[in-house]
Amino acid sequence: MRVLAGLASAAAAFTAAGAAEAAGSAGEVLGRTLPAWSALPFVGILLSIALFPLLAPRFWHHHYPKVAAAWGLALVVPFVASYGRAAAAEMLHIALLDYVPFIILIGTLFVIGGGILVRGTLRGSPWVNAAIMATGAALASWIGTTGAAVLLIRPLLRANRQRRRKAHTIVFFIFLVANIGGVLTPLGDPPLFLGFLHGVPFFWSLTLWRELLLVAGLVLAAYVVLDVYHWKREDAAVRAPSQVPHEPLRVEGWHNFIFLGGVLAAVVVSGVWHPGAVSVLGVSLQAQNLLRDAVLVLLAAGSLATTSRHTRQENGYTWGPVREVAILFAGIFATIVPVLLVLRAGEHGALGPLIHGVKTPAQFFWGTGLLSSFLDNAPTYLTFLSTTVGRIYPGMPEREAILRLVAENHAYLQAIATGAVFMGANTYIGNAPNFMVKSIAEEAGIEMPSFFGYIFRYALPFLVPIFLLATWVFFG
Amino acid sequence: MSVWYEITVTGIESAVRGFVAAREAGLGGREMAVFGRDLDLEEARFSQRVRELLSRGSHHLVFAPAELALDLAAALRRRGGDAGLELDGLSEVVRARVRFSAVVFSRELAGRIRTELLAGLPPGVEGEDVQEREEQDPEAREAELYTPEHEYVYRASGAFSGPFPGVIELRRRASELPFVKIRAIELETRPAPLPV
Repeated sequence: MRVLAGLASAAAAFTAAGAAEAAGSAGEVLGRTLPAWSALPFVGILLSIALFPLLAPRFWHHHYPKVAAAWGLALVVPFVASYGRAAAAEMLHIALLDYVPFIILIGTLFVIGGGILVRGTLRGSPWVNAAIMATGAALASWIGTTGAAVLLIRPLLRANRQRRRKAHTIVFFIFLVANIGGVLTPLGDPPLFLGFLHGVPFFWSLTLWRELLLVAGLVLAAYVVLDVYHWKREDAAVRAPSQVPHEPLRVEGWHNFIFLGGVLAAVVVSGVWHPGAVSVLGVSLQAQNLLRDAVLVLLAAGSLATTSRHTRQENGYTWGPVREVAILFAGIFATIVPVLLVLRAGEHGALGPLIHGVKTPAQFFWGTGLLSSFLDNAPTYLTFLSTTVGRIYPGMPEREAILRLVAENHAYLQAIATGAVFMGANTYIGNAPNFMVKSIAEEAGIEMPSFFGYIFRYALPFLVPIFLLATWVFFG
Repeated sequence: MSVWYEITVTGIESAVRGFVAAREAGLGGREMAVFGRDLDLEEARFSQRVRELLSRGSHHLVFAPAELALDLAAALRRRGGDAGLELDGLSEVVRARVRFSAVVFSRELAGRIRTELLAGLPPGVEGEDVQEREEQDPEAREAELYTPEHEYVYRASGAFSGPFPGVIELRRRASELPFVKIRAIELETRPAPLPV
């Protein structure tokens, strides 16, 4: 009852603001009219995702759909009640153009990645661990950071089973495989796919190879130095070459790499082929995007049909993570609508001071990065992308503005993309796979650092200096 | 079970360790001492380190069974000054106590805590308020991205108290088990007369 009363009062407040709405280009007018506090449900859902797992994990585990729905409804009901068709059209627009393709891609990558199983046991020496991490970082851009983490975390745990000091290895795996490695393509990390959906060319992110090489190279080098130090303090029996031959590495479900190739082809083609648009519920959708999504669903179905259930079980594959993403991002995408509209209005919108406050690429790198450290990096990326577009090309249609951004102000996009992807590694809550890896490692008996231990013992001493150096090299 | 003593010595740590090692060897290695710093009974404070660097030394706690302790105390009185060491106090350790807690997420580790820590307590050592609890949530069996929750949680907490060697043995066992947190050892002591 109290929730309903809250919704009613929010609707009344929105109606008061809505009275000022004039006729004209609905989205643009909405962006100039909406109050700054219309961002509260968005902030609320992001903070819920960040804080509930730390403060009330059991409650969150069982009730997160209700929390996401509450935030979503807290925005949607008064928003649509106040702005009518214009608001409903914006909601439908983001649902069909962003949410559905996003979930289809994430789900497809998860299904296909979950069908690949790496068997065998290696000896967890510093060089073997570094090789596993380098492989994971290289794969992350092509099968997603979550897919690469799922694929390699268990082989890494098996390799280090005998070692006493191994928490640092898992932390650096989170840095490299679950975050930094995903920067090269829109398949790597959700923020980049959202950028692709909003008009960033597919191959643009390949231009970030220098940033990847510097940051991943330094992080990997730091890991090797740290692990050699710990390795020398391991028992002699652990360091000695094993008398029992190691089980050689082999891949089960390798045919899923063909499906991954199909995903890559479908996404690339949707970025370069433009056969025309079709209207769905009044929203103009590009035919190539509909075709891409259909192909992705078929590829996921193909993977499910051709991969043995046993392989998926061994991988710990379940639908749980896809369900979580689908539910939580429904709430995120619903609540982000007014934020994006206001940001795109640039100085004319209620968040004009925020847009004024972030000016240089270095500021965008750290602004996107610091928020991505504590909030989910996909909506953070989208928010800062809209901020840039609103600041540099106010009032210009989004796709056109983004293409001009790529051509004329490349450094801003570079800063936002790398900030969102790299700095998701700064905390456990910065990127979705971080917590998953921590949880799997703890269940395997590894005592992982606490939330603050992760930040103070690893992120601040190792990552932040490297990010400062990257700022100087690339955005200085 | 042998009576243990706490010896307080002022001096440089390396000199204390060398002196103790020499006395242990003198007794044929029958008894071995334990250092307070190794048991986290002394904090390695910055000021203490500075004093060490300035060769002024600081207080150190050494624990030893009766024969070695009394021999050490007497030797420190007689010849400690030659090594820059001074005997500050001697106490009999009446009882030791250590608190522990653990939260683990695997049945295998829970089993290890039961068998390697909670079962087979050393002679004279008793568990105080030892509690164990298992929680299972079948809905949390999956690997989660945004809603991390462990399917199995085992919690244990309590304290062990009793003779000093038994308690430090349990502390050693606990330190080898991941996820087990151990607090500093609490000691009940009574002053013993210093050797003449």
